[in-house]
Amino acid sequence: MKRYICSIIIVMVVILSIGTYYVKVASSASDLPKYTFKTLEGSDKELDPVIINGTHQGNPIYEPLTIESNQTTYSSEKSYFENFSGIIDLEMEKLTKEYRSFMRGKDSIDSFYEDDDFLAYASVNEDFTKSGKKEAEFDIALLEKKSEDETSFNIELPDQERIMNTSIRDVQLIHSKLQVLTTNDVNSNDEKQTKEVHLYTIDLANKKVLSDKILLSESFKNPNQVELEIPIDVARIQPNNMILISLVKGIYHEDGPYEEKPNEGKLLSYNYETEKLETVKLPKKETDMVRGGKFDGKNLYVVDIKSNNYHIKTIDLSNQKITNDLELDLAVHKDEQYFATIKNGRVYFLLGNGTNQQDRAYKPAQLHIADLKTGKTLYKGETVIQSADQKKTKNHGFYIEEIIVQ
Amino acid sequence: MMRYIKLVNFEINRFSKIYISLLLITLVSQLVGVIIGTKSFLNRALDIMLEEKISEAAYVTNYGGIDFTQIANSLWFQGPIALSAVALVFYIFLIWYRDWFGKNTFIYRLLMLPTSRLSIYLSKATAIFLMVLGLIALQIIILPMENALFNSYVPESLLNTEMSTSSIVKMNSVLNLVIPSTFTQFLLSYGIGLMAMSILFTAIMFERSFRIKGIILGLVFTGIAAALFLAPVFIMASESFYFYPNELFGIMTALGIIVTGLSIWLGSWLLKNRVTV
Repeated sequence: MKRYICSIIIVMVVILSIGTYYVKVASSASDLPKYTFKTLEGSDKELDPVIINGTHQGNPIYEPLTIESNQTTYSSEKSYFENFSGIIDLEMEKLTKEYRSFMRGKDSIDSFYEDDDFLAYASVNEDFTKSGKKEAEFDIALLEKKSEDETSFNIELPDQERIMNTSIRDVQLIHSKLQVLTTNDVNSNDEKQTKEVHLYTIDLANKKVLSDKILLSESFKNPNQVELEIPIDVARIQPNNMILISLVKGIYHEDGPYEEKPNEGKLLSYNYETEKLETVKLPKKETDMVRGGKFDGKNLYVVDIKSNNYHIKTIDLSNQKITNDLELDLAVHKDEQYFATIKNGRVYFLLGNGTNQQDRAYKPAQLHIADLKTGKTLYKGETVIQSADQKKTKNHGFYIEEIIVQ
Repeated sequence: MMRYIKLVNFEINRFSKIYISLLLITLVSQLVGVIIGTKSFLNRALDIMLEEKISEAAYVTNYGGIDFTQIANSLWFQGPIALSAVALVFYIFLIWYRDWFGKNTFIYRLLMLPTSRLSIYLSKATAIFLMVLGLIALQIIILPMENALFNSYVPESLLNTEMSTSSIVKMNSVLNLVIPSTFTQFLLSYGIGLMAMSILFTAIMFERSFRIKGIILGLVFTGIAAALFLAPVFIMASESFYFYPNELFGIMTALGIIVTGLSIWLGSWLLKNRVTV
């Protein structure tokens, strides 16, 4: 026995110390503070579909967390396998579950189109040949839901010598032709930069590009800047006849900050069905709010921060008039960030990420839910932090990344 | 079974002097690192506070306080971890070659033993693996002690934050590598380590069997084993097929087990049939 003492000690120490360490690690996640919304008004049932992704900013450790239906879950509490694939888009997750084989190797929700019969996909593949020449091609795939027939093919991107890069912004299926809307940067030899919006029409039966239409082309020189944005569609992959394109201009001041020039920007709408491109005429005050706007194919929702309280304005694009102006019972805080989303006929408005000047402590995040039509407040609440050790929550806070409503 | 345990114990005892030195070096160097690191910080802080006539709180806002991450990044702290790692990798080779080239060629007696050659192979692997885990265990045991020592030394006003052992490990890349943050990750990391060791052992068996030619065979074997294990990654990189993350995980786990099993089988087969003394 005495001869084995060395080995026995090693084995015992290894099992005991490594074992206790990982048991402690596994139970330590429950020591992290819980964030919940304290209801100030309304029913907390309204919180059920709300998912908020963010980070617990402890000192010195940051922990990603999700508040779902008012329950805090840290990603360190989830199993290794749940964390394995990282956070993916809810819509992507749903598609992947339903059409596992079709979805293999495909990502980016903007590349998809889904209706009752079809699921379509378009992306651009860029590759360099051995001689260093760039080759770009469309990756197109179509799934017929009932027959489970899959078609996929590649076609060369037309006019690709001109184009530096392409990013897919919307895919639609109109009269069995695939419409792919992209924003492209154009190659140039001089200082001039050009950004374009292209609409490619793809014939799925004959596997070729029927047309490459330039909807918008904007050139500029430093220090001027142009950005092309697509106000986020509330239902990104569903059939939509209309898409909005927002053009934002700005300038880099010498040694100074970047300044946007809201009055020079414009908002365009394109109708896939009628193939008409129009400039949307908005009341002047509303023009610069379009960027963070939400668009559901008919109405554009923008957040107005110019009054004392936050306003949600609904703009009907068929007549370009403000049809609804909803005032939230929440004062504008310019030093805080807002996150707004429209779902189920409700506005979900989350305000947070602000800190107190003196002690740099995080202010609680505030969530308001209101009925879009009547403007009635359905829920009002703010985050509270609960911890086993209250003393330790000093300087701890919750940083919001996004709000999703199911 | 008893023979195998005896052999493991025998291998550990043979390395015990160097191993205990490694443990002691780690312990002493890290404790010295904590004391010297804290002392020099406190002296510097005191000098500046006297010179500029500022309070502790003003010092912290101007120059920043201290926490254990600064200590854990010092050479005193990480040096012994690196030294132990290098020593054990080196011993993977030494554990075989000392039997051939040491005094009175011990391998004669080892191969004469009335036990299966597989247990000789496995006992050497087990000994090294246990010693690796022993070093990790030591680090896990002394880290909270060092942390407590550090916290008792530094006045609270100069301390950024009191850290838990697991957050110290998370904030330090070297510690995080040797002590993975979850148990699953621990199993995976050390499983891959075990696989790498079995591949190296088998490469050594090739060399011992066929000498110069064996070195080439050993290299070829190592290449094939690595390529087999990483095959799904290569397939994905070539964009010919996409695996979902959980599929990739499953396939690589299975391949890892197959590669390890194959290496052990081939290694012990060579030891039994081809190794010449």
